[in-house]
Amino acid sequence: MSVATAVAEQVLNGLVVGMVYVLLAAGLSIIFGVMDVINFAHGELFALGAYFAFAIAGPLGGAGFWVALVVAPLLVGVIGMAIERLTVKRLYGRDPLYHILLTFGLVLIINDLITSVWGKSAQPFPIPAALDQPIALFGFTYSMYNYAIIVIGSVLALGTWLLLSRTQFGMIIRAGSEDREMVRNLGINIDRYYTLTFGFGAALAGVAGIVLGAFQNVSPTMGNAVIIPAFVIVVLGGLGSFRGAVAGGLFVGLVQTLARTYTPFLEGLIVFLLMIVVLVVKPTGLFGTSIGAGEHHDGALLHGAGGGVLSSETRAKLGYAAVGVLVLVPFLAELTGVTYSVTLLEDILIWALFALSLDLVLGYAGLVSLGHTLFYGVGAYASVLTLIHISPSVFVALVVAVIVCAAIAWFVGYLSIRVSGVFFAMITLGFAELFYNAVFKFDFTGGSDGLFGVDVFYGLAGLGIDPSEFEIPLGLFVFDGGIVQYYFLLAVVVGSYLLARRLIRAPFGSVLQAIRESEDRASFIGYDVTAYKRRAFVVSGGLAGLAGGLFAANNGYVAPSFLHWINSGEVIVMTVLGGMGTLYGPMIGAGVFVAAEDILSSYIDQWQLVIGVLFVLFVIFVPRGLVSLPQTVADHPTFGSVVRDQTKVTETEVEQHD
Amino acid sequence: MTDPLLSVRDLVSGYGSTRVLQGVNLDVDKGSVVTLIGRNGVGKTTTLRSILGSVSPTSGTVTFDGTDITELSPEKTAQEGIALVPEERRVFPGLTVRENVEIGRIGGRRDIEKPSVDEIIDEFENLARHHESRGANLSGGEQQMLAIARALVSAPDLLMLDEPTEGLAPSIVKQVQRKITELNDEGVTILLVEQNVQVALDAADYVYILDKGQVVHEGPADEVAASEEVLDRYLGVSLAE
Repeated sequence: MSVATAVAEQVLNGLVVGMVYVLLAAGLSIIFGVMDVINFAHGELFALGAYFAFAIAGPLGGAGFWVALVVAPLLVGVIGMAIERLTVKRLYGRDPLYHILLTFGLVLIINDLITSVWGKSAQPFPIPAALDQPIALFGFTYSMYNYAIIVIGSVLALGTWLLLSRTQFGMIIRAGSEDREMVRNLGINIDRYYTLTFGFGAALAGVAGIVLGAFQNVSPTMGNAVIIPAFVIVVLGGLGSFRGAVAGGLFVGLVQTLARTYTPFLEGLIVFLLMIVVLVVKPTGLFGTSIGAGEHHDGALLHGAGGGVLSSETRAKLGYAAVGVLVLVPFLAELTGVTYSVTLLEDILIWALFALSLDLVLGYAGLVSLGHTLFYGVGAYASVLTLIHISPSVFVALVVAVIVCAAIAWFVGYLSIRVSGVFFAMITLGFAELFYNAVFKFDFTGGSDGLFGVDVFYGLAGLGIDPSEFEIPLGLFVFDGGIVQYYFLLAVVVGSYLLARRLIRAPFGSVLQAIRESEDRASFIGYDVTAYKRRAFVVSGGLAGLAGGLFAANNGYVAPSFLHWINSGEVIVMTVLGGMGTLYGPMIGAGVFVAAEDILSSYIDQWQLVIGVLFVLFVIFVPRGLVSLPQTVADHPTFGSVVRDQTKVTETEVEQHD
Repeated sequence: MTDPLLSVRDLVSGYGSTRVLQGVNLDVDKGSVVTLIGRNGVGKTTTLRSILGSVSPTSGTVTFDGTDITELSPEKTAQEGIALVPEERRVFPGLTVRENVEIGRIGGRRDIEKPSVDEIIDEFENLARHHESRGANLSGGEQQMLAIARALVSAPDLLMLDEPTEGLAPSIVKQVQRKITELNDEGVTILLVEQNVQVALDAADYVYILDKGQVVHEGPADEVAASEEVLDRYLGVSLAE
């Protein structure tokens, strides 16, 4: 095969992948452009398309694929419309953050439904026989099915473009993406168009899933695998720009394919590098304009949870009580024999610290860090590498983790904090994915296995406790290395909370909150908004790194999964679940989330589904988080009357907090 | 005497826990131009928004052509035949002039024949010249005309204009003023909110002065214009000729 043919084949392969991306990204971009919804469930709709087609085509045999190609996207479209009507619609007008959370819950639900219907393993989905052969065009032989993908993709992209630019439907959609209230004022029921748009975007994702499913196979992880590249494309091309989605899709498809063949080291990295470079140079993406995508509310609609209904005194008492209980747990566990509870609590404490770190930026600076697991993961790697290569001391390892993560946060913040809102979210996600893909590539990070079997020492210069040898009998109890580890963890987490609280109560914290409420006003008063946000981000990155380092040191290993975006999603979930902007709320959220996950997963197979449903309900009905529940109850017309009399005094205090 | 086209009774309305309107009463007769004037922040825009339904009134009623529209959503109110030319114009920046008008034609009442897009564009000289330009590329005055055209194409029974001369050059203000008079001559009923007292009084048949969320004075435009005491007390202006 000549070089020219080889390149031509790679280019065609790139176009095939690119076309799938175009279909996927077009739907995602239209949904974002029109409704401001960042739809993380788009990948699952893509997978649903593939599975529906798989289910329809199988029994029909020969022509089954073609029937499925029409019917399955329609079904996905209907599901998309139902999702919009029942869930997404309730959150319009709120910060886009809530849609991220909502659709994150939907990912769990749909994914669990897929695995419970079709199983966890990948299944072959055959290409229709008529297309399953090579064809020679211009003296060049290539798969007919691949040509078919390019044709199907082109036709649908062209059709979508015509729909958007030449029809009344498209005109209303475009107008709605610019000023939805004005469209309403004209007497047009924009809600109906939103539902249709969501359905249309979902159907496009469905088509993409079908063509890719037959190209590879169908598997429950296929949605998860494409959602991040799809976001990259949408951001690269310009949020909400259809042209951008098409150009970005083809470009990323080509770059990925060519990189895989010619520069294997860069595979998986190059796309994120490109995205970061583009966003830094041109934050609106290649084809984006400030119209539509720029008008984000800069956190003004982020619901801080406020102080809750309890007075600060009560809260302090509860805090002491909680720490007291946590101190006693190892003894109770020993007494009752439920030693497992200590392990669970360690997990909770680490996630609580991670959530606390996120709250500093999300809840106080209004920065949606969508890739916060970057710091968690890097902290874990940094501490394990330090333990292996530099010193077995946990203290040294954690200090290194914090410093490295703070430095990376400074760098990422330097590049991205001047870009606001959604773009910041996407850049942080881009960096997290970049590191996630990078740790697979190097030997010193242990590749896909990670690094494990690390021994730790709680001390410095030979003075301290080696947990593997430590054992002091104490009456009924044995005070061993595991307990040392637990108390150390508890002390670090409580200490970090106190530090964060000190920071927020200092003038620094007040400025941050002012920035969250109104960036413009804070800067008019004379504060350097960017500098303040960056500082908060550095502190937050350091604390997240500490959390990651603690986990790695506690468990003696680190793996690429520490950097997976699911962690970033989960920590946002915990933060909002508990009530952001309170510091202690996210920590409670982490406790509830981790405990619920642990308990549910040991009793129910479909635990993800249950968590997903709970989470969707929560985002819709209790957006201010668990800590707002007492307030919500107190405000309730019937339940509240009882509570209200007792809380009159504290409510005035709550207002001051808000 | 026939019933007024629009009748607002004891309207209380606002945002969150802030009450902006504290019981507003006003009538707009068919074929007339009624203006609402007052200082900043007294509730003029909120009155229009409450009539349209983009702010839900706490109490009071809004009756339009015999129908109670108090609880209707903005889209339903618009479908009853009320069109708004909003503050700051709010033309769709990415849509062409033609598309801006076309989308206005999709809205409004369903049961009537509406003028064609071309007819409306031809009525506005500057728009006809730029009909393929995007809204964002128009001048302030052109955008104002476009916002009026977008409202007119739905053939509304009542046209509400919110500060249509704000931020425009004096010569353009005159054009807008002329357009309002012209439209009224063609039989369009107009409810105008205006900061520019001169424009407001010149254009109007009847005037309501709003202060602190209530109508504090009302009367035929020429009477209000003649009463220095009223102008001075409520608006702090004098119309020295």
